[in-house]
Amino acid sequence: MDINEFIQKLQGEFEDIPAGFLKPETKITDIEGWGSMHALIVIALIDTEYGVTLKGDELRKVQSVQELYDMVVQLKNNPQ
Amino acid sequence: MGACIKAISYYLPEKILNNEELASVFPEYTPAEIFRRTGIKERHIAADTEIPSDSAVIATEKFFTEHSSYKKADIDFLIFTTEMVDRRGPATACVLQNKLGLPTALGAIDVPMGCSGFVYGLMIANSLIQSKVAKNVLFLTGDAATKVIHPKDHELRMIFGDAMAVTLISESEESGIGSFVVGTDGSGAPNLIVEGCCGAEKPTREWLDKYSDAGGMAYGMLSMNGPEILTFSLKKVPPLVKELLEKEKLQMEDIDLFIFHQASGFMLEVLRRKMKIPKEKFFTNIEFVGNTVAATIPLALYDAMKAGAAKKGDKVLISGFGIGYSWGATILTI
Repeated sequence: MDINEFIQKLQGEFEDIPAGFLKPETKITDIEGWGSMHALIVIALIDTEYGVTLKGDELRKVQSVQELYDMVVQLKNNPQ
Repeated sequence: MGACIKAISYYLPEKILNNEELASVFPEYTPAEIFRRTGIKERHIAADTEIPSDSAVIATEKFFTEHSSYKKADIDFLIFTTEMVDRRGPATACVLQNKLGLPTALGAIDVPMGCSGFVYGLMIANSLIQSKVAKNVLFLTGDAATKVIHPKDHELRMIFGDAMAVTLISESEESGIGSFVVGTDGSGAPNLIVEGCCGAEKPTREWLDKYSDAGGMAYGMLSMNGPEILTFSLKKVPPLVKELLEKEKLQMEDIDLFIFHQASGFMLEVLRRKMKIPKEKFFTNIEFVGNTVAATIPLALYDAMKAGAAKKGDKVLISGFGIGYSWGATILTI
């Protein structure tokens, strides 16, 4: 997995984000209309695609797309 | 000697809340978006004066009309599964014995469980029959979650509806109810909770004043941490099903139909995909009823049998999970 593929997958889940909007440095909360439904979608996507089940409070700590990606990589490599 | 489900009926309150009405209250959403988020088009809402024990009376009368071969005189145990009992005492099931005109030679208990309530009540009914305490258990399951939802809470109003189900579980030659796997993790309690009521948080004058624009929220107020509930379900439900299948020495392929607690259309689809359950083996009926808490599984079971999705002899795996956290599953042979 790499971050570009990760961003593509995220992009695919959010119909209302313009193409190219998501970059590693993009702040997650800057996604238009970001709310609990987006959090649910992200948790479900990461669970399905990467086999890692993020907790809500773990997701809340994350600022950028890069940080989210790093967290997924870390949890994937060190399953709890 | 075993136990099996003989018959089910259910009752939905008359008033319907559809996505068009919700979108008029929450103009930031369109009806199509609400459906996309929840998989729900309509929910039934109990009248202001109707509490679950009232719904239980209507549902029970409907049950004995629809299934006239069964008689109230033969009922020897009553289980009422709701999180909204009438009072701290007496047990609402005792009051219902009288209201329903059931025999006095009958045991009656409340089982105040929510999302896992149908599985828990069924487990108790099965045990009562197996231990020869009872032969015919009348099992009422339902809630009125809409009474503990703040009118401005768009997330919860989009998901929850009210309903009451009646299930008759009786002694039978062959067992139609398999073994059970259950679990509890009270550390998850704050993530799905009714606050501002009962012993731990007595309703205060300040509480009633704070929510005066919402009628005081005198029954308490439901709050849900959606992401945490999704994480809990993704972590707990697949191993729960796996453990049950191992216990019963069955494979996923041996199950004819899966009926899960109808939490939300979104969560059901995520679980289905994660567990690789084919669509045709995964029954949902949340679209026209919403999440009816303790009533979701019997409502779905009834609809599945009516639609021919669950046929005689089929193995149906049911699983309830949520508030508590509490979870449980069993396999029924229809």
